[in-house]
Amino acid sequence: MKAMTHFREIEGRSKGYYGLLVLLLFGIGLGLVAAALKGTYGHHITGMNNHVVWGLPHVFAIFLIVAASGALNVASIASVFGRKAYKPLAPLSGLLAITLLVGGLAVLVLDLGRPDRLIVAMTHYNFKSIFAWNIFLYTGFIAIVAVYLWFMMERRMNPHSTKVGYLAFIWRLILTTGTGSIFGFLVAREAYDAAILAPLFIALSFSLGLAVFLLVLMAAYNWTGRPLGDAILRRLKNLLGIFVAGVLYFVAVYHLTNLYATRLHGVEAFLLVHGGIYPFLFWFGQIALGSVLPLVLLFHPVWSRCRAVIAAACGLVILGGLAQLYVTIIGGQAYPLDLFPGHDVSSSFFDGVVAPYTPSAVEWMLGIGGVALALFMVTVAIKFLRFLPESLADDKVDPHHAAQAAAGAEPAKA
Amino acid sequence: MAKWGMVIDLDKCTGCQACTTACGMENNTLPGENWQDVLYYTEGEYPSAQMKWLPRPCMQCENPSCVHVCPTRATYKDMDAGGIVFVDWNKCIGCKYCMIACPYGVRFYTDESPLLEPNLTKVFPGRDGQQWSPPYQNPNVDWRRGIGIQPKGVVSKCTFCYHKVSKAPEGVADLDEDNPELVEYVPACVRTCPPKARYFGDLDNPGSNVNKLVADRKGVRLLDHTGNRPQVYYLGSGASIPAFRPAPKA
Repeated sequence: MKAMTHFREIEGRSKGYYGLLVLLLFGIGLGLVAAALKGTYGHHITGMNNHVVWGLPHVFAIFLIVAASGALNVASIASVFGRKAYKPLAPLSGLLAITLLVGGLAVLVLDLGRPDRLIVAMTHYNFKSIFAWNIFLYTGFIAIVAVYLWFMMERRMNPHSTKVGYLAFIWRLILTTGTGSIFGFLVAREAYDAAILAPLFIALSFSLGLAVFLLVLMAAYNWTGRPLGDAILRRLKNLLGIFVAGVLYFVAVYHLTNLYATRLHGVEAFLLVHGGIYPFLFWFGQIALGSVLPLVLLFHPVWSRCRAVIAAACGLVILGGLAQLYVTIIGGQAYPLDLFPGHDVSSSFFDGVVAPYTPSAVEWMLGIGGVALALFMVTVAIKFLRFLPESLADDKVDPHHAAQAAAGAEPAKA
Repeated sequence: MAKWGMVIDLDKCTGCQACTTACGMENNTLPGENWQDVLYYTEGEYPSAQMKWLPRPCMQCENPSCVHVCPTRATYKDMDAGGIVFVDWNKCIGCKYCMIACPYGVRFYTDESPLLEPNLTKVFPGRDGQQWSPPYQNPNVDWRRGIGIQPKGVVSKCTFCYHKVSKAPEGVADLDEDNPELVEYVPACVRTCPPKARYFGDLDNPGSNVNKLVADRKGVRLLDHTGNRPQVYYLGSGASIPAFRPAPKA
């Protein structure tokens, strides 16, 4: 028997819905005000300087871009890996992929010194630059996922959606490789310059994208009163746990490889031991709160049955991801260039010393604006288009579940 | 066309920073925007520790990381202009990727926090898109080559004083500040160096003094292992670059 999935717009007339829209519009407003302030007064109202040139907005931007790529995973599981149970979730997955990417790109563009010259970036390409490739990868991703969504949501185009799904899956892997390579290709900075950053970013995209997806899914179904079964939730939370473990693996390999190279002991000691905020964010934010605790919560035999615990784990994964990107992006710049290995260097331009950086309110506002923009687009889209199934109850998602339940058996585990 | 290169004799350099000051005056850079700077480092341990120094202009690399990463080709290496690396201020979008990619830390973003008070961008507010407008301004302006007073939101760097060098007679081997016919074409840092520790000339000309100095005194380049191949060479047995010196025996 084939289970039919009915998609329907949310009603979107409650006070809660409008309250959420107002809140998100406020967040977008913060971002716009921040961009206007930066444009008027220059970057010196931020915490950035000539050593830490990419600050908190880049952390938010890369977070959103990486999460966008990972958010598409759920759709890929259905179309590329043939897991039919995930098919009802595919439209929301595609929607999140586009909106998160748009949010991230908005932050990235507004953080440029000359955002008004975006047209220059669109008309003058240096194909040796991974940045230039990323312009194609990001815009291409939006276009491909838009077509993918169209094919999924338009009944007569359904037969072709699998092919586009494959293309989107391959594209997103290349896209995240490109994002990781922004740092991996940089020989000048000791904390970067590592090929493993590309697969690390791919693993990170899996975990961050799924964490965001799960939170949005749970919030949407909870707030609209639609049924969301335990079976699909259990599969997704188990998958999230695997992704988090995957990120931990790549992080361990990255640092252990660096520790094997004597010339990198200084930067590793800085990031892991005596670098002030950076070791704290690494061990407490990224590892303890963002990885180990979520793993415990997601795989604990009792706690993991509670939806609030799953939601908390998703939130922690997101915070851990932000901490990880902060350590990678800003910590990598704060550590001084090693012009004379083994020697203490100083100059009138702060060479040889750890570059100070404290994110300013303007940077927070811009980053929050990008997140708010992404979520605002999702909130509006699900009101006007059919992205969400009417029901994700266990028997609707998985036909086998109904049969097993009727036979008195336990539902299948992921 | 010449391939301009600079040779800095660290045995002669006194670390006086006259080059840094001259560069700032010539190019109207803001305090802290040191296109040319002197790095100090310590060597050895107490009681025989020594302070050493090394002047650092842009290396005008033959294989520049900054050019590879620039998404819009705003940063480019102009082989018709002596192989100097320029920033086209009309194309720079201020993404600052080049600043992260440069292994020498010689690129500057002019919108950052002022290092000194009072903030000179407020004392002399910028006009015509300039970051600031000091009373004396170098009349040579070429935004396509990053020459002039920096506009807002872009990256700036040393140009080897191209506005002077470009006017030198065709085919000249060296720009020597002791030659009255050439002195006006010599980069500001070279011309002002009190102990004459800097030399500037054509690296492609086998007869140039810079080529001879590099060959005879085993000139070395900073961080050569990165593959950037700078067009700036350093000389000096006693003050050579630590990265290229054999480690002391344990």
